[in-house]
Amino acid sequence: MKTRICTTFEEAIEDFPDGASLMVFCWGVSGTPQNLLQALRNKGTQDLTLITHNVMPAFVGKTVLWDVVTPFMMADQVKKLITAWPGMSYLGMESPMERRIREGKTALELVSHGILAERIRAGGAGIGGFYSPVGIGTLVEQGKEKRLLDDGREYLLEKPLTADFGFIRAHRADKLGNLVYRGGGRGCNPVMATACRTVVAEVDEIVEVGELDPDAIITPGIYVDRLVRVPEAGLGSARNRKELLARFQAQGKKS
Amino acid sequence: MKPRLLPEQVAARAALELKDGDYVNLGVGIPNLCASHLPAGIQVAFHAEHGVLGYGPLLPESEWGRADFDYVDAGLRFFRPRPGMAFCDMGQSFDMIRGRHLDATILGAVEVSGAGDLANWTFGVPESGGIGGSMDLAVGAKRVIIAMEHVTKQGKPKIVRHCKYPLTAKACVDLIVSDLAVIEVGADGLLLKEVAPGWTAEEVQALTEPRLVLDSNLKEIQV
Repeated sequence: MKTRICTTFEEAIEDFPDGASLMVFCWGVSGTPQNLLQALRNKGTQDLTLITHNVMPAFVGKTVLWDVVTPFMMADQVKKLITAWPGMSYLGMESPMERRIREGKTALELVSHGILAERIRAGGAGIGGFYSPVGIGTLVEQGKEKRLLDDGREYLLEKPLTADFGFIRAHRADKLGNLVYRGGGRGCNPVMATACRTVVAEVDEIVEVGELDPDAIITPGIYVDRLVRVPEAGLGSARNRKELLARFQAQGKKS
Repeated sequence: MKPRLLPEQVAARAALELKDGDYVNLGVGIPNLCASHLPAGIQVAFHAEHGVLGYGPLLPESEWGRADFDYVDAGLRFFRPRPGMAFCDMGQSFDMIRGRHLDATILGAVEVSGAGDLANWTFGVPESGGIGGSMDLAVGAKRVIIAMEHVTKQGKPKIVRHCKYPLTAKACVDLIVSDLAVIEVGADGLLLKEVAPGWTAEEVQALTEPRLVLDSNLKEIQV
């Protein structure tokens, strides 16, 4: 299907219904589609199934960047959470998501980072499941088929994951939806882009067809349904990142 | 109370286990300090779970104002790019781990059992913790080294007969480096190989639940 270029984030998610499932990567500021998340937060969509690696705010050192939009801020919209990192005990606090899980308002499915990525890859690749040794003898083995394979080790059957929507953060796109990433911001974005019925990508720049080096394209446009360019001062833009860092310039001089 | 090794000294001792050219993933806490305490003349490529291999040294606080958010490690700390550094997606990043391509991982621990079981992702309440990549690393790295304090803040042993806390993986730990001792996990149990300066094997045993077998060549940790 032809990739559609949207002018606003609201337009890009206007058909996102209550109760839908969403995959989104988050590694602090990097690789996080903040503008799409903010649009979904403003829309007030309820009863999400959220599939994400970490439910935590962005931070630098011990300073939490509360103005960076991450799945952490979406807690009250989430009915089911599939993640490797729901908690905040490492910062000595209880997060809104933890509270909802404790109160039974959000169901939690815990999965390790690697198994989460691989289940998403299976979902996007038409694989019906796979056996993995990760989690044997731990609480994540509950409810999973266990099998002794030919190498004499025990394995767990892991099921594929797909979602209704995938929000992707990439660096550059061409008008066909081919995507290029930057640094660690690649993360799980290319994997998630394969496993969602509707894939919406926010990018720093949309260039003409032919301007991206075909050898450098990580996510071919076949996976990408909608594109939105992050405005010059938008969340996660170069200017916005500079402003976030400016807080630490002052701190650096002090110390 | 007798002095124990400082976190930096524990990290330096754990880092002695690494070899030139190793690919290594470091967990949070003491393990992260290993990056700044590598033995002289050794180059190690560090792996970060979200898909970074071979990143450079971490930026000091005075340089955060000019940092790059796309160049952060697994703990969101800024690093300097390094020639030869490579990025990959998270699926491939964990292929490296599960596929036994990482030479070692150095992780922290809440508890380690005499059989080498590891508990390190929660203090008991699953929704308050974070598995992250620890289960994948504990199962997949060629060598699992634990760098930690020997006892809890309350003085209770962290090396226990059976872990009380939810496990990360069973029988996965190869070596424990604590602020009191270096202990190898073998088929016959725990082998005490080194003790901290000023400590005796008996004193270390008194703070360790499972019985320790003394290495015939028991040494003092070189600090």
